[in-house]
Amino acid sequence: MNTEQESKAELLARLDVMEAMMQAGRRATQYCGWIFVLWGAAFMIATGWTLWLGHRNLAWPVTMVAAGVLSAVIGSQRRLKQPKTNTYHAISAIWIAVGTALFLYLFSISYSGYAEVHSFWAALETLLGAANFASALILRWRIQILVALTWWTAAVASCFVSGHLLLPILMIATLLCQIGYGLYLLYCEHRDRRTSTTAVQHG
Amino acid sequence: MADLPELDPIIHGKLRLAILSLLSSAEAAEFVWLRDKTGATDGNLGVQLRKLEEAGYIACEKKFILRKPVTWYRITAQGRSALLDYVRAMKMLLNMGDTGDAGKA
Repeated sequence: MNTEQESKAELLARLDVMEAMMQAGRRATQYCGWIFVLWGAAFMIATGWTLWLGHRNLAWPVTMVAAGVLSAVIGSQRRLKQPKTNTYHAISAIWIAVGTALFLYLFSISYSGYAEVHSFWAALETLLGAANFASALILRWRIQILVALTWWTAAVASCFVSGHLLLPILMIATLLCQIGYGLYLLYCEHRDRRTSTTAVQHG
Repeated sequence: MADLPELDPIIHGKLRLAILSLLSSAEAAEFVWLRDKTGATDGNLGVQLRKLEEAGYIACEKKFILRKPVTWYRITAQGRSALLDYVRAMKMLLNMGDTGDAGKA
Protein backbone atom coordinates (compact mmCIF):
# COMPACT_ATOMS: atom_id res chain seq x y z
CA MET A 1 0.00 0.00 0.00
CA ASN A 2 1.40 3.34 -1.01
CA THR A 3 0.66 6.37 1.08
CA GLU A 4 0.41 8.94 -1.69
CA GLN A 5 -3.26 9.47 -0.91
CA GLU A 6 -2.64 10.09 2.76
CA SER A 7 -3.32 13.69 3.50
CA LYS A 8 -0.81 15.72 5.43
CA ALA A 9 -3.44 16.45 8.05
CA GLU A 10 -3.90 12.75 8.67
CA LEU A 11 -0.17 12.21 9.06
CA LEU A 12 0.03 15.10 11.48
CA ALA A 13 -2.86 13.59 13.44
CA ARG A 14 -0.85 10.36 13.71
CA LEU A 15 2.11 12.35 15.01
CA ASP A 16 -0.16 13.96 17.61
CA VAL A 17 -1.29 10.52 18.75
CA MET A 18 2.33 9.35 19.08
CA GLU A 19 3.36 12.46 20.98
CA ALA A 20 0.38 12.28 23.36
CA MET A 21 0.93 8.57 24.05
CA MET A 22 4.68 8.88 24.62
CA GLN A 23 4.08 11.76 27.03
CA ALA A 24 1.39 9.74 28.80
CA GLY A 25 3.81 6.82 29.13
CA ARG A 26 6.57 8.98 30.55
CA ARG A 27 4.26 10.79 32.93
CA ALA A 28 2.61 7.62 34.18
CA THR A 29 4.74 7.31 37.28
CA GLN A 30 4.72 10.94 38.29
CA TYR A 31 1.34 11.07 39.91
CA CYS A 32 0.90 9.59 43.36
CA GLY A 33 -1.28 12.38 44.69
CA TRP A 34 -3.38 9.99 46.76
CA ILE A 35 -0.41 9.01 48.93
CA PHE A 36 0.49 12.63 49.70
CA VAL A 37 -3.13 13.36 50.67
CA LEU A 38 -3.39 10.15 52.70
CA TRP A 39 -0.29 10.81 54.84
CA GLY A 40 -1.14 14.50 55.18
CA ALA A 41 -4.61 13.59 56.41
CA ALA A 42 -3.17 10.92 58.74
CA PHE A 43 -0.88 13.52 60.31
CA MET A 44 -3.79 15.95 60.77
CA ILE A 45 -5.99 13.26 62.32
CA ALA A 46 -3.25 12.16 64.72
CA THR A 47 -2.54 15.76 65.73
CA GLY A 48 -6.23 16.54 66.22
CA TRP A 49 -6.74 13.36 68.23
CA THR A 50 -3.80 14.23 70.49
CA LEU A 51 -4.83 17.86 70.98
CA TRP A 52 -8.57 17.42 71.53
CA LEU A 53 -9.00 13.88 72.79
CA GLY A 54 -5.64 13.16 74.39
CA HIS A 55 -4.29 9.56 74.28
CA ARG A 56 -1.06 10.65 72.60
CA ASN A 57 0.45 7.17 72.96
CA LEU A 58 -2.54 5.67 71.19
CA ALA A 59 -3.31 8.35 68.60
CA TRP A 60 -0.01 8.32 66.73
CA PRO A 61 0.66 4.56 66.46
CA VAL A 62 -2.97 3.81 65.50
CA THR A 63 -3.14 6.54 62.85
CA MET A 64 0.28 5.81 61.39
CA VAL A 65 -0.30 2.05 61.22
CA ALA A 66 -3.71 2.63 59.61
CA ALA A 67 -2.12 4.97 57.04
CA GLY A 68 0.63 2.39 56.41
CA VAL A 69 -1.89 -0.42 55.84
CA LEU A 70 -4.03 1.78 53.57
CA SER A 71 -0.92 2.81 51.58
CA ALA A 72 0.06 -0.84 51.11
CA VAL A 73 -3.44 -1.89 50.02
CA ILE A 74 -4.10 1.04 47.66
CA GLY A 75 -0.50 0.94 46.42
CA SER A 76 -0.68 -2.75 45.52
CA GLN A 77 -3.95 -2.17 43.63
CA ARG A 78 -2.52 0.76 41.72
CA ARG A 79 0.76 -1.02 40.97
CA LEU A 80 -1.24 -3.53 38.94
CA LYS A 81 -2.26 -0.69 36.64
CA GLN A 82 1.01 1.22 36.52
CA PRO A 83 3.54 0.62 33.75
CA LYS A 84 7.08 -0.25 34.77
CA THR A 85 9.54 2.42 33.74
CA ASN A 86 13.05 3.35 34.85
CA THR A 87 11.59 6.51 36.37
CA TYR A 88 9.10 4.42 38.33
CA HIS A 89 11.94 2.31 39.78
CA ALA A 90 14.02 5.39 40.67
CA ILE A 91 11.15 7.25 42.38
CA SER A 92 10.03 4.11 44.22
CA ALA A 93 13.59 3.57 45.50
CA ILE A 94 13.74 7.10 46.93
CA TRP A 95 10.41 6.89 48.74
CA ILE A 96 10.96 3.37 50.05
CA ALA A 97 14.38 4.40 51.42
CA VAL A 98 13.09 7.62 53.00
CA GLY A 99 9.92 5.95 54.30
CA THR A 100 11.95 3.21 55.99
CA ALA A 101 14.39 5.75 57.42
CA LEU A 102 11.52 7.88 58.77
CA PHE A 103 9.80 4.89 60.32
CA LEU A 104 12.98 3.69 62.07
CA TYR A 105 13.88 7.17 63.25
CA LEU A 106 10.42 8.20 64.48
CA PHE A 107 9.73 4.86 66.15
CA SER A 108 13.13 4.70 67.89
CA ILE A 109 13.34 8.31 69.02
CA SER A 110 9.72 8.37 70.25
CA TYR A 111 10.14 5.33 72.47
CA SER A 112 13.73 5.98 73.59
CA GLY A 113 12.75 9.06 75.61
CA TYR A 114 15.75 11.01 74.29
CA ALA A 115 13.72 13.03 71.77
CA GLU A 116 14.30 16.77 71.74
CA VAL A 117 11.26 18.40 70.20
CA HIS A 118 13.05 20.92 67.91
CA SER A 119 15.47 18.43 66.39
CA PHE A 120 12.72 15.78 66.22
CA TRP A 121 10.50 17.85 63.91
CA ALA A 122 13.44 19.39 62.02
CA ALA A 123 14.77 15.92 61.14
CA LEU A 124 11.35 14.82 59.92
CA GLU A 125 10.98 17.91 57.73
CA THR A 126 14.54 17.63 56.39
CA LEU A 127 14.02 14.04 55.29
CA LEU A 128 10.71 14.84 53.59
CA GLY A 129 12.38 17.79 51.83
CA ALA A 130 15.23 15.52 50.67
CA ALA A 131 12.84 12.90 49.22
CA ASN A 132 10.82 15.54 47.40
CA PHE A 133 13.95 17.26 46.08
CA ALA A 134 15.46 14.01 44.73
CA SER A 135 12.14 13.08 43.16
CA ALA A 136 11.82 16.57 41.61
CA LEU A 137 15.31 16.33 40.07
CA ILE A 138 14.49 12.98 38.45
CA LEU A 139 11.13 14.17 37.15
CA ARG A 140 12.44 17.69 36.36
CA TRP A 141 9.40 19.07 38.13
CA ARG A 142 9.68 22.61 39.41
CA ILE A 143 6.59 22.49 41.56
CA GLN A 144 8.01 19.60 43.58
CA ILE A 145 11.22 21.60 44.07
CA LEU A 146 9.02 24.25 45.68
CA VAL A 147 7.55 21.53 47.91
CA ALA A 148 11.06 20.42 48.91
CA LEU A 149 12.11 24.01 49.62
CA THR A 150 9.00 24.51 51.76
CA TRP A 151 9.89 21.44 53.85
CA TRP A 152 13.48 22.62 54.25
CA THR A 153 12.33 26.12 55.19
CA ALA A 154 10.11 24.55 57.83
CA ALA A 155 13.07 22.44 59.02
CA VAL A 156 15.35 25.45 59.40
CA ALA A 157 12.59 27.46 61.10
CA SER A 158 11.95 24.58 63.51
CA CYS A 159 15.53 24.82 64.74
CA PHE A 160 15.14 28.49 65.73
CA VAL A 161 11.56 29.16 66.80
CA SER A 162 10.17 28.69 70.28
CA GLY A 163 8.37 25.45 71.17
CA HIS A 164 4.79 26.70 70.77
CA LEU A 165 5.42 27.60 67.11
CA LEU A 166 6.67 24.15 66.10
CA LEU A 167 3.26 22.59 65.61
CA PRO A 168 1.81 25.49 63.55
CA ILE A 169 4.86 25.37 61.28
CA LEU A 170 4.47 21.63 60.75
CA MET A 171 0.72 21.98 60.18
CA ILE A 172 1.22 24.68 57.53
CA ALA A 173 3.95 22.65 55.79
CA THR A 174 1.74 19.54 55.86
CA LEU A 175 -1.24 21.44 54.45
CA LEU A 176 0.84 22.88 51.61
CA CYS A 177 3.25 20.05 50.83
CA GLN A 178 1.10 16.99 51.49
CA ILE A 179 -2.57 17.83 51.13
CA GLY A 180 -2.34 20.80 48.73
CA TYR A 181 0.36 19.22 46.58
CA GLY A 182 -1.43 15.84 46.63
CA LEU A 183 -4.69 17.40 45.46
CA TYR A 184 -2.80 19.21 42.70
CA LEU A 185 -1.31 15.88 41.54
CA LEU A 186 -4.73 14.24 41.55
CA TYR A 187 -6.02 17.08 39.39
CA CYS A 188 -3.05 16.68 36.97
CA GLU A 189 -3.65 12.93 36.74
CA HIS A 190 -7.32 13.50 35.91
CA ARG A 191 -6.49 16.19 33.32
CA ASP A 192 -3.83 14.05 31.57
CA ARG A 193 -6.10 11.02 31.40
CA ARG A 194 -8.69 13.10 29.57
CA THR A 195 -6.08 14.62 27.22
CA SER A 196 -4.45 11.33 26.19
CA THR A 197 -7.80 9.59 25.63
CA THR A 198 -9.01 12.51 23.50
CA ALA A 199 -5.84 12.34 21.33
CA VAL A 200 -6.53 8.71 20.33
CA GLN A 201 -10.25 9.15 19.82
CA HIS A 202 -10.11 12.39 17.87
CA GLY A 203 -6.46 12.58 16.76
CA MET B 1 10.42 11.30 -9.06
CA ALA B 2 11.70 9.74 -5.83
CA ASP B 3 9.84 6.66 -4.48
CA LEU B 4 7.40 7.48 -1.73
CA PRO B 5 8.21 5.62 1.47
CA GLU B 6 5.61 3.12 2.59
CA LEU B 7 4.01 3.32 6.01
CA ASP B 8 3.81 -0.01 7.82
CA PRO B 9 0.07 -0.85 7.69
CA ILE B 10 0.25 -2.75 10.98
CA ILE B 11 1.54 0.31 12.84
CA HIS B 12 -0.52 2.83 10.88
CA GLY B 13 -3.82 1.91 12.57
CA LYS B 14 -4.53 4.69 15.07
CA LEU B 15 -5.03 2.46 18.08
CA ARG B 16 -2.08 0.20 17.22
CA LEU B 17 0.13 3.27 16.80
CA ALA B 18 -1.06 4.56 20.18
CA ILE B 19 -0.30 1.20 21.84
CA LEU B 20 3.20 0.98 20.36
CA SER B 21 3.94 4.60 21.31
CA LEU B 22 2.82 3.97 24.88
CA LEU B 23 4.89 0.79 25.15
CA SER B 24 7.94 2.50 23.64
CA SER B 25 8.09 4.79 26.68
CA ALA B 26 7.56 2.06 29.29
CA GLU B 27 9.43 -1.09 30.21
CA ALA B 28 6.15 -3.02 30.43
CA ALA B 29 2.49 -2.09 30.77
CA GLU B 30 -0.67 -3.81 31.88
CA PHE B 31 -3.84 -4.26 29.79
CA VAL B 32 -6.00 -2.02 32.02
CA TRP B 33 -3.46 0.78 31.90
CA LEU B 34 -3.31 0.61 28.12
CA ARG B 35 -7.12 0.64 27.99
CA ASP B 36 -7.32 3.67 30.31
CA LYS B 37 -4.71 5.62 28.36
CA THR B 38 -6.15 4.91 24.93
CA GLY B 39 -9.82 5.04 25.89
CA ALA B 40 -10.42 1.87 23.79
CA THR B 41 -12.93 -0.85 24.59
CA ASP B 42 -11.67 -4.18 25.96
CA GLY B 43 -12.63 -6.01 22.77
CA ASN B 44 -11.05 -3.57 20.33
CA LEU B 45 -7.88 -3.26 22.41
CA GLY B 46 -7.58 -7.05 22.64
CA VAL B 47 -7.89 -7.44 18.86
CA GLN B 48 -5.28 -4.76 18.12
CA LEU B 49 -2.89 -6.17 20.73
CA ARG B 50 -3.20 -9.60 19.14
CA LYS B 51 -2.37 -8.15 15.70
CA LEU B 52 0.73 -6.46 17.09
CA GLU B 53 1.72 -9.65 18.88
CA GLU B 54 1.28 -11.73 15.71
CA ALA B 55 3.51 -9.26 13.87
CA GLY B 56 6.16 -9.76 16.55
CA TYR B 57 6.04 -6.09 17.59
CA ILE B 58 4.98 -6.74 21.16
CA ALA B 59 5.31 -9.64 23.60
CA CYS B 60 2.75 -10.60 26.20
CA GLU B 61 3.16 -12.20 29.60
CA LYS B 62 0.32 -13.46 31.80
CA LYS B 63 0.72 -13.49 35.57
CA PHE B 64 -1.43 -13.91 38.65
CA ILE B 65 -1.05 -11.07 41.15
CA LEU B 66 -3.13 -11.25 44.32
CA ARG B 67 -5.04 -14.11 42.63
CA LYS B 68 -6.05 -11.82 39.77
CA PRO B 69 -4.98 -12.57 36.20
CA VAL B 70 -2.83 -9.72 34.92
CA THR B 71 -1.49 -9.43 31.38
CA TRP B 72 1.64 -7.39 30.81
CA TYR B 73 2.79 -6.21 27.41
CA ARG B 74 6.21 -5.02 26.32
CA ILE B 75 7.54 -3.76 23.00
CA THR B 76 10.04 -6.09 21.30
CA ALA B 77 13.26 -5.05 19.55
CA GLN B 78 11.49 -5.73 16.26
CA GLY B 79 8.58 -3.51 17.32
CA ARG B 80 10.89 -0.68 18.36
CA SER B 81 12.75 -0.89 15.07
CA ALA B 82 9.46 -0.95 13.11
CA LEU B 83 8.24 2.12 15.02
CA LEU B 84 11.49 3.96 14.20
CA ASP B 85 11.13 3.05 10.53
CA TYR B 86 7.53 4.26 10.64
CA VAL B 87 8.59 7.62 12.11
CA ARG B 88 11.34 7.97 9.49
CA ALA B 89 8.90 7.20 6.67
CA MET B 90 6.39 9.65 8.09
CA LYS B 91 9.03 12.40 8.34
CA MET B 92 10.03 11.80 4.72
CA LEU B 93 6.40 12.01 3.59
CA LEU B 94 5.83 15.21 5.52
CA ASN B 95 9.09 16.75 4.21
CA MET B 96 8.10 15.84 0.65
CA GLY B 97 4.76 17.55 1.20
CA ASP B 98 6.48 20.65 2.57
CA THR B 99 8.98 20.76 -0.36
CA GLY B 100 6.13 20.42 -2.84
CA ASP B 101 4.22 23.25 -1.24
CA ALA B 102 7.34 25.43 -1.16
CA GLY B 103 7.96 24.76 -4.85
CA LYS B 104 4.46 25.91 -5.72
CA ALA B 105 4.66 29.09 -3.68
